[in-house]
Amino acid sequence: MLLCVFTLLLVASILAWVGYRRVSIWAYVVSLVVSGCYFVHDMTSILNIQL
Amino acid sequence: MFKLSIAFVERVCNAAELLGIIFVLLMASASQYFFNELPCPLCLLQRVGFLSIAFGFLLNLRFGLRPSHYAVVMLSALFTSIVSLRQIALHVVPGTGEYGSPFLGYHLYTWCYIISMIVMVVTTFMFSVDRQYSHLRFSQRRTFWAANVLFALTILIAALNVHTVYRLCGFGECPDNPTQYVY
Repeated sequence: MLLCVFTLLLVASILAWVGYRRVSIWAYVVSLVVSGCYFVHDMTSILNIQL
Repeated sequence: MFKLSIAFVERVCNAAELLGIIFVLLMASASQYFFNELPCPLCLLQRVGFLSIAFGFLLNLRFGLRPSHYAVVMLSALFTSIVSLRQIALHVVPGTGEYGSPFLGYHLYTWCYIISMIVMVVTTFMFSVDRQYSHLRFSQRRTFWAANVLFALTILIAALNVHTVYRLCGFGECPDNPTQYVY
């Protein structure tokens, strides 16, 4: 999952460099959403916290 | 004579802040490769946050100064601060252990929290200057060489982190306390 996040950020940076603004921002948004999900999953599973 | 515009000053501030973020990410990679301090999943998420902050500044340098680009920076800094605060909370009680070696008296996750807070405060001041948006309709067509260098550095660091995550976790879930590379 984290591999996917870092790859998306790499792709977003490359797309921004070559001039694709919107697509790169979408790649960023997806990577941040996946990171958020990973964070919540990590928080709830390790400490057995129930939200 | 060279006229110093607000937009130019803001662009230089963006580049300076981006350089700071690149320095932080390089230090994280240096501690990993030279001192064998392998990053935990939360540490990797903090790196994601810093790379995202860098991405927001890159957007400003490449496409011109826009509120939406500053929003990317603020959102990413908020994410980084939440993740680092969570890691601080895990180790804040005496006797609960620590992760990694301290640097100048604080652990790296504490530094992450401090730096993300500084980024948020500085960026708030930066994006509140309205005059920088007066040239918004003249979107930047030409990228300066310094911006290209910063782009190349950020992409290099992102690629290095992809390599790190692959070696640490592969395609599966990352170990909580990594002691060696999986691949």
